[in-house]
Amino acid sequence: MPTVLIVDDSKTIQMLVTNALGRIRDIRVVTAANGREALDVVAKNDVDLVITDINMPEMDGIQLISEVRKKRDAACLPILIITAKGEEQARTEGLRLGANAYVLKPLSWHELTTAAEKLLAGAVPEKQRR
Amino acid sequence: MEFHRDAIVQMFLVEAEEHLSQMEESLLALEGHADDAELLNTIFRAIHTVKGNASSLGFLDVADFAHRVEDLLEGLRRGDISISADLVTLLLECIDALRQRIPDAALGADAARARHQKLIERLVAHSEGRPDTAAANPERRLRPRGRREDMPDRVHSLRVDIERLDRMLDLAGEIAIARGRTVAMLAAGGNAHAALDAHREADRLFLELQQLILTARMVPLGPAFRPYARTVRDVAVSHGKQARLLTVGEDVELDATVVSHLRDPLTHMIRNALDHGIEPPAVRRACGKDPMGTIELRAQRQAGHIVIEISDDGAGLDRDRVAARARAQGLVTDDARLSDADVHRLVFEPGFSTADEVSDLSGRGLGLDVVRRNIEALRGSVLLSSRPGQGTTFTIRLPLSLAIIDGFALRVDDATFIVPMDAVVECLELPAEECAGGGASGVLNVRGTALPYLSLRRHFGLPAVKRARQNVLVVRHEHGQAGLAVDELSGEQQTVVKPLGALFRDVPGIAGSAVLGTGRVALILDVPALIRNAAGPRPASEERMR
Repeated sequence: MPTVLIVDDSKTIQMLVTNALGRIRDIRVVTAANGREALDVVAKNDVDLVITDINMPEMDGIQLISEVRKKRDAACLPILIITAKGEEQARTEGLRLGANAYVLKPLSWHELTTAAEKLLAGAVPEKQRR
Repeated sequence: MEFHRDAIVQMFLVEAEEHLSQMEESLLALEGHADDAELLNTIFRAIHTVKGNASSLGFLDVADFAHRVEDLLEGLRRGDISISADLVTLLLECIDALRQRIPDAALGADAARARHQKLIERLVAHSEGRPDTAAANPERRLRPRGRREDMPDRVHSLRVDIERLDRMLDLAGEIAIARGRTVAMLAAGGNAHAALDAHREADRLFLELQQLILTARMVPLGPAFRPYARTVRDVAVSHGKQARLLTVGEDVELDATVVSHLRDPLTHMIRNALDHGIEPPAVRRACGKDPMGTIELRAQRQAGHIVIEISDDGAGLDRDRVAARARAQGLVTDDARLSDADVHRLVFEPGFSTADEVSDLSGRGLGLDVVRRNIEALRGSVLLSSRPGQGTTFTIRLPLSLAIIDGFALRVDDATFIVPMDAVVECLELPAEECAGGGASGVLNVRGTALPYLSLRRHFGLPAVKRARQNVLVVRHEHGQAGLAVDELSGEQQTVVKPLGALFRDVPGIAGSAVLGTGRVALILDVPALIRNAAGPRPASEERMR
């Protein structure tokens, strides 16, 4: 069962995303309220996909992406950004630093689940790559 | 998706309120620190999240409204617009509007939409840097609203750490095992000492569990204090005064029930401070004071108690006016010489009010007597001190928890009474000549100081029995010390407080009941009320005024 880490300071979004993903296939969801918590989760768990917000207190999504990419590349830990229309600059920066894809707020279920499924299917677990 | 929608919408409502409160708090702070970029970022992030969440849930009107607010904030962040009192007022009104519209939208009815059209126009005008013409209109003047006071008590749920709950469950399991061990030992007819040891072990675990549950009920005062910053601003603005709220000790924790019951008394005292304490800016300037008044809410722990002070730097209590009013009300006789302490006590008397007409602040027909009653219902006390020209301070003392107290048990015949441990000063033996006297009260000479005492037997009308020895428990109350004469002092014990039935609720001097280890019921004494009651009826007794 793949593990998806949802990073958002809003529990509402955490619940919305969990709910949407839960409809397509069995996944285990772990959540974090900001980048710092997310790094902690990634260090201690086998995470298969990170879905992250950008604007968060303590450590934002951009910093999170850059920290994660220092350790694991885009093929073994895909990152999906959730971003608002107006955050084009931050979004671009996130992609440049190694995020795999983004979806726009307001969230569309189809878009979110399609993107997440695609990234989960394409992800190659680190163990198999050796 | 629809299946979980209700739960998600509920979460959205809770979070939206958190974000709006945070915005409100930061906005009020921003008024004094216009160049604090972090405050502005916090406000921005909050409205941004509300907008994003609302749009994701399909509440597009709310999202659109939030978007306009965000636009205005963006202008502030870029420095196109500068912060002003009018702008803060406008943004606060927007927060109120969102507070109304978000729950409406969740229910599927956004009735306030049309009403907020004007607000949107003003938002747009501000965003485009056009002056707010409506602000000059006194009709639009911000009125202190009853919103917070009218809200139902929301503290029906509490967030508890999973870890804490796990520990409670662990303890419950350990207690079950320890009890099983005791039963097995007793059933086997084994060593009574070993069984007692096993039982004590279960007791120790049980006390730990009890303590854990009590601490789980504790919440920090900060979230309860913060909304008052808004109350202070709104009330001050509506009265042409300037005032700010300072809070100290936001991390002090108190039982959740006590906190929710504090809201009304605190609101009342803060309004009182703005109404009677803080002077208009011109008067303050003439006195050489900062035209902006300060009201301070300060919480601190003091030996098993929480002390909350509400102080203002206003004019102080008008001593002569209080005395005149008290005479007019028949609360004191004409020739009574009133000490400061008397004056400070009088304002808590039922029906007392120096306001010649009911103002909208002290409005709703409440007086400080209601504040005192509310605080005493929490087994607390409230005192006032005041210095002319320098301000007034209310001091509230509260127990940490309502559920369990450390008590000191007293006996008269078969009846057991319990006095909260923190009221206990010392134990004495009643001198033989006083025993013989048999009056309901008297005065003892304790190391050269006069100590008034009260015979509980006489006070509660228990049958007179001549006893060779009687004891006195010295207790402290708000105005000093007093003795309670009883047959026996049974000592300290932890007591679970049970409320009294409706029939006994108004018996003066009794705060509650408790079930003793023997299965008998004991009465918990309300020391301040008992002393007040015994000190003789004040001219205007509470009964008459009700």
